[in-house]
Amino acid sequence: MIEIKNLVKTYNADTIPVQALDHVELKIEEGEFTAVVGPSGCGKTTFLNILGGLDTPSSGSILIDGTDLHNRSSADMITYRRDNIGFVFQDYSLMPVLTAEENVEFIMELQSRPKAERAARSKELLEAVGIGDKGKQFPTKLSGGQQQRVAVARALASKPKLILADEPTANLDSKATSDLLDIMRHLNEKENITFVIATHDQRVMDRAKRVIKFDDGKIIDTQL
Amino acid sequence: MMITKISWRNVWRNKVRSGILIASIAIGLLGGIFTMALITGMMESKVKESLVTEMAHVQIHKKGFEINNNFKDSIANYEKIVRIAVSDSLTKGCSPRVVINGMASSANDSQGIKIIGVDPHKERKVTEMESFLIEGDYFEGKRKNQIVIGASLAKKLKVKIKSKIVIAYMGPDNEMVNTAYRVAGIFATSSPDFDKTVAFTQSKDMWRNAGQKFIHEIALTSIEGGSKPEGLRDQLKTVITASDLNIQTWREIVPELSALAESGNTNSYIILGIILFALGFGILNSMTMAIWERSRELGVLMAVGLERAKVFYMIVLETIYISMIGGVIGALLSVGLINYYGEHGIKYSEMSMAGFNNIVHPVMPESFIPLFLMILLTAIVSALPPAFRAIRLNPAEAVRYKG
Repeated sequence: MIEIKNLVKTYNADTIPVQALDHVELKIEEGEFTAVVGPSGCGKTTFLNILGGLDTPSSGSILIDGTDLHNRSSADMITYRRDNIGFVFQDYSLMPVLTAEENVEFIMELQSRPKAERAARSKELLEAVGIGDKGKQFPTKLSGGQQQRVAVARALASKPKLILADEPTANLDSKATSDLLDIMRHLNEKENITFVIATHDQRVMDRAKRVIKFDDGKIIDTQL
Repeated sequence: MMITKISWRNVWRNKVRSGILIASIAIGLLGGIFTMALITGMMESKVKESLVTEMAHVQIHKKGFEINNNFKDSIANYEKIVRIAVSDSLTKGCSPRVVINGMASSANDSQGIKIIGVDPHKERKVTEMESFLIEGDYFEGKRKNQIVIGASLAKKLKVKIKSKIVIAYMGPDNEMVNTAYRVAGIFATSSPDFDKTVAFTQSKDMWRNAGQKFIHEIALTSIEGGSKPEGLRDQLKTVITASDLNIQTWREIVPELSALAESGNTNSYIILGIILFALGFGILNSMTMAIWERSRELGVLMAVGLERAKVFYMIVLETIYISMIGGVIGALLSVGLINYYGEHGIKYSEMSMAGFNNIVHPVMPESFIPLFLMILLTAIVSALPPAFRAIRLNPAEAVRYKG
């Protein structure tokens, strides 16, 4: 379970302070499929970055299974992210010089997993997201939808407990969005992976188990 | 393994930029290596010419002769010394010489010179003066009192083949010896100074004119070559025990010549260092641009769990790949160019003014390993600023970077 306590993030504290997150309190249960919504600049991405350990809060804390996420050294945080959190970005952010299967294998290699295991899991994940036949393709040869599927497969490679997705459908057409959401919901239900998705997309909100609305850095509404 | 793969493939992502960088490294190195080869060629030819015109590899003198060049400082029992020297396993050639300072005069002018009296048959095994003849011959005729002089001396005295010149020197009893010699040959080396101040005659003529036999210098060549004269010197020192003799290599006799050769190497590395320093800025600029453009990508890699040390390694490795590709191409081009001009030579007419051969044959570096170590060092140093910049990226900010 993720427990967010009195989370505050202030940028430019020394000059013109901008409060990106304003005393956010939230609990996210294991296996949730949550959409974080709100207008641009409301704090969604900042919230995801802090939840993913990419950024640090100005005050407050995030407890994951009772442990303070940010009470780690920088090196430990990198390892923690690698082993426990999967990221999906709006523009896919695949390594253009690696093939689809190499992109998926990359994180497993960072975890020092054996080559055979990496290859098998990479194949399995690409098949799970419906592009098992595209493993040898470089990202530039794939459509946006296919690239985002590779990104989801990459996020799942380290067997994380939590996947954070920042506008994952923003660059996808309706069909690709629908397919991607099917895959993510399936993984959520089958593997009990927690998804937190920052989005503007109504289609994502419609498929979410919970929708959390942000405005001016505050949670203004939570809908189940 | 994947990091290595990413670094290698990153080299080829922007083919134009990498191509320009690789080409600039290759051309810069080509310039540096070829300049080194030219300088080495000049120095080696200067040293070689000194060895084959007069110096040989090892010389034996009576102690003090090198300071005073005194007629009386001849080598006692020289025939025995020559016998010992000739029988040494490292001796290739041995030539006993008379060496005196005197004055050469013609009807037109006079010039102070060093007269070297030789046995032409023995001298041929030690030096190659004949190859520098531009007129006449090297004591081919049976006439007495023949002399071979340099082109500069001939010009100053306004003499030609068969002209007479008078050689005057202080004899063994402090009396002036004046002898007329006929010019048998005229040589021209790359050193106008040598050509003006050194003349060769036969030792038997000098003995007859002075009324006694004497030898001032025993010149030897080693089978190990001019670059390794120390072996012959050391062996001779063990078998020639006369305490009044100096047995010295050419490096000891003319340390300035040795220093010239050594300074050539130093100069070459300084030039190459300057070229690599300039190339380093090119590499630094290119890699900084590349890292700037890939900020988002690097942020993503760090976000998904790539340690900063590996990001650093990845960037340094990419720089090393680029530099080494440029280095290998530059080295291959250099080998081709040095081989071609090593055979055909490059004409530098102005070099003869400075006492160098006017045709320079570039010499292949003995090893490319120091060059590649210098390139490697340049690559690593140039990669440090962009690599440090990369690992200082904040993943949260970098993933939002739009390029």
